[in-house]
Amino acid sequence: MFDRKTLEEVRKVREEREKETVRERKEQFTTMSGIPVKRVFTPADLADRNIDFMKDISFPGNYPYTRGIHPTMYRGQLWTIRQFMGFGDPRKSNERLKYLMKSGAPGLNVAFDLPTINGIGSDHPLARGEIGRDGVPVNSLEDVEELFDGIPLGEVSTSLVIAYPPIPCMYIVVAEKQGFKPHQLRGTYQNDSICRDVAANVRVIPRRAELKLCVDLVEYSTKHMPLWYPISIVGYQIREKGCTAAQEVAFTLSDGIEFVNAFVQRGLDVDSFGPRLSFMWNAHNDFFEEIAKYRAARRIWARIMKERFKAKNPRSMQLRFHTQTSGVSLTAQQPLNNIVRVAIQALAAILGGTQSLHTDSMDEAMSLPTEEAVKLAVRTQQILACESGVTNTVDPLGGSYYVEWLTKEIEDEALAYIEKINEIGGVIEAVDTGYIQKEVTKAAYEYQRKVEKGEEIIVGVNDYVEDGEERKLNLLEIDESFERYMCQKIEGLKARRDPSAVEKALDDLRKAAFRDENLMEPTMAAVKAYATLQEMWDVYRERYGTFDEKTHLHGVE
Amino acid sequence: MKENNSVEDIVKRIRAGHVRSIAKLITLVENHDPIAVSVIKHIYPDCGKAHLVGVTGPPGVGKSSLIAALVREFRKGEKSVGVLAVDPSSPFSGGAFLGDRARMVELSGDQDVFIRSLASRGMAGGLSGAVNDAADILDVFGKEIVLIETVGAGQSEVDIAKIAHTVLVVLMPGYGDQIQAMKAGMMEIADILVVNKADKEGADATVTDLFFVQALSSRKPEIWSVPVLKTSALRGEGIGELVESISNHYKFIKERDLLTQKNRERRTKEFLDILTQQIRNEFMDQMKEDQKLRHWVQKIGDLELDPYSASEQVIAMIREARQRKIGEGTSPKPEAAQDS
Amino acid sequence: MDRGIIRVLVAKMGLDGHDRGSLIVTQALKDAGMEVIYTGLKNTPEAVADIAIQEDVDVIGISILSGAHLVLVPLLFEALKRNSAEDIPVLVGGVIPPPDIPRLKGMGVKEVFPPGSSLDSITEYIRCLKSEKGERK
Repeated sequence: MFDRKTLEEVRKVREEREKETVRERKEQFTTMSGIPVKRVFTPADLADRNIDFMKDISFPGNYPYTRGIHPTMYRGQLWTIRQFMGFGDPRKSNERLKYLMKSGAPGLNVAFDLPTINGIGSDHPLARGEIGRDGVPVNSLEDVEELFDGIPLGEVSTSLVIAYPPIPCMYIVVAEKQGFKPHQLRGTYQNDSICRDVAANVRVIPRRAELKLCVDLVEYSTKHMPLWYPISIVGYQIREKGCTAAQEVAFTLSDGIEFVNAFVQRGLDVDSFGPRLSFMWNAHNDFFEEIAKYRAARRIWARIMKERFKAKNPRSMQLRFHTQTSGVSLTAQQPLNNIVRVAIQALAAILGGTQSLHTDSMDEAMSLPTEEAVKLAVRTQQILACESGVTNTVDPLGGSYYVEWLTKEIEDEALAYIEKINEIGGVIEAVDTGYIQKEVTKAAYEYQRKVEKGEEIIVGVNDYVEDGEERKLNLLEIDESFERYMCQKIEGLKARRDPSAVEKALDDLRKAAFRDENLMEPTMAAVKAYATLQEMWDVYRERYGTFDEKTHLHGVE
Repeated sequence: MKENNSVEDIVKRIRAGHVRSIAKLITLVENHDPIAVSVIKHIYPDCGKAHLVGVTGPPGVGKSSLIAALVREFRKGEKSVGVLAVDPSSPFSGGAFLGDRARMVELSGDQDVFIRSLASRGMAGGLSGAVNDAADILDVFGKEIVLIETVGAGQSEVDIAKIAHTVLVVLMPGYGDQIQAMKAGMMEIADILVVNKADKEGADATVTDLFFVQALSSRKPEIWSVPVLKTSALRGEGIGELVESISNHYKFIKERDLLTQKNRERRTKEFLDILTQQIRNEFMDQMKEDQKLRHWVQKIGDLELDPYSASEQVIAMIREARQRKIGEGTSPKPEAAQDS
Repeated sequence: MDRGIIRVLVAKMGLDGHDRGSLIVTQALKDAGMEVIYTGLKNTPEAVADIAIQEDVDVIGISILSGAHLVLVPLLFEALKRNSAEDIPVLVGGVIPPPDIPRLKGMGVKEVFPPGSSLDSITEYIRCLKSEKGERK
């Protein structure tokens, strides 16, 4: 990129500078993930890493897509504001969905509560106290009907943060009842059981069974739902657990590799599902590190899809992603500070080229967000989109010596991890043996120690602390009447539905499960008969067993 | 501390099956509390009904999950079960992560299952010094089976063989060098070999390898023919057969009077361990009080007296004392060594 | 006699799957010389009480990030009471909204450690609890 003569001059000055002893605020400056950062970056730093403009950076919309997956990016279309939500009961969530849409956040993004994710009903003993807290409770088709009441599913784009067939089937059935065919539906399923497993410790059935159900969803979707992204491969959760940026990239892309392998093994052509893969990243504090991270991820994935999986369609090589700002970076102390944090994180995601974005609300360190807080989070995105000017050009930070260097740095580190996981035998193997958990816990513990020693500052927590500050925020109160409501609904449903139809549907589901067939159609039939989520899950558990092993314990030495 | 903590009250509560008292007593045992010693003395004659099953093997083979599966199976047969899970204490901080229990979540709530996690607390064998006494407590508590899970590295495999009646050595498919296993002495102590995670590739090959290695081991076949079993703790496969094998072994050693022999060996070792510890403690206590004694020991450090001779002098005194009076149950403590 | 070694139960109740905090705390307590029994995930309050009793722990540390604390903590106290073990101190850590902190303490929780609490403060607190108990004996 630069001629030899210029580079020589640059290197000379650089060497001289490095010999000088200068007093700085710290002994060493590092990114949040621990990457040492030099005082100043120069063209020589890029040349030293052999960064080639056309091969490594290129143009947006051109392989390897470092600068973005579209030539026009936000000049063509802004990212989708897609706020994560879900709480209380389906009625309350329905209200919040409509509120968000009215506020100008058109992307629906629905989370489900812990009992639902774990495949148990609101009336199960382990569901006590958990109903409607971190997401919407769903016990049957009835609840999904209530959830999307008055929202035309064929006209919106919905992200369902769930894996496994039952809820997607419910969504499709509700859409059909509204008059929309599957091929008209736009949206995503999270469907990333590996991430859920490692990062959120959600394990219901054994790992490889979860993978099988994931492939079922993708297979169905590839055939019937061309506008749908049947999987969102998630790095957000594992980053929240405390891993580094490079690890986030490596573990997530390794995840992706495992899924692509599984889909190919099912007989799907890589280019049939390649364009329909999506990812989800975290947007954390270190501004430039995050931007570099997104760029590195795009570059690595493009090469993996092309070289390893021999994809031909460029769209299979494009890493499209949703981003969520980091929840764990928010503080309960001085919550208004979170508004600022989120704005910076969101900006990083935007400069990193995200396709859709969720911004946390300021009170999320304490509770689920109020309407007021969520609106502000939406406005944050709108201000960035409309007032800051950053969308006027694509990949504005491309060519920055620091950012290009950091992109390469993260890429190299991530590739080393990916190789290691390859050696272990893939990501599921790496999770079974606890390798990933160990690395994450190690990184998390080190960071926590740095915070406690004051090497990492968290404003309001270990510096700029205000004594006795008790800003009275109006927090969202979850009242326990949700539990009663949901349990009553289950009772009512069981009384009203046709028991023999349910039994037959569940029996068919069971047979299909034991024959290892794709479970989408049989699940859809059970859904239509108003079988409950738990009943369907009990059938899955009959076939696949329950997941027992607690390999998340790896990591404490 | 509890209100009525006289030894008699504690013993009464143990026999009555009062869980909290049992738990607290185990803590006292771990802390070498004299009350614990008194209680043990009381309950000692009532020991001997429980079948002690040691479960050992390298880390990562799924011992805890296997134990959970075994407990469930034993419970189906309505047996009352105890589990002692031992994990290593950090040599640096002295703390420990006792995480075996986390793999046994579904066993909570069953009143007939008592699980206790113990840290090795620097015991050279890796096995906690409290295991013997804890096993006895659970025995008297009424547990018919006590499963003892050990660290599974280094010396502790051998130690478990001296306490447990039946020793399970758990491996998993592809567990590297079978030669490695031989070196670690695991083949010597196994009464039952278990290949867990048998759903993984290479399970059958591993079983075959183990049969082969077994044949080479020095154990006489007419004593007990060591079975090699496949299990998958997560899938619940092979557990029934393993339980049967465990019962068979117990029957076997009972019938051939090997049980008595084992018990005697165990108790003898226990006695010798306690004796060594107590002599040591006693000597060190006396050193604290007795300056003359300290000077005497100092001579060893100054190369004026070699440690062998010093030890022989103490032993000579014990012999002398023994000639004077022993055999009625309580022996006098060795008197402080005088200047030689 | 080593009466000094502190046994701590680090427990997760309910369906909450976030264990980063509890694993970090576990590591810190272990580094501070304590024996930490970790329950793993998905325990009912009743099970946690049982474990605390069998393990004869000096303190129960509950980690909750799901918001279910106001339902699950009372159930834990009920279970402890049923087994005459309400003398075991209970600490709670996790995402606890400020107004709930006094509520939890009212139920009997000795101290609450919200996000941002230092590991040293938790370790110190537990040490104090244990030495207070020792003095009362």
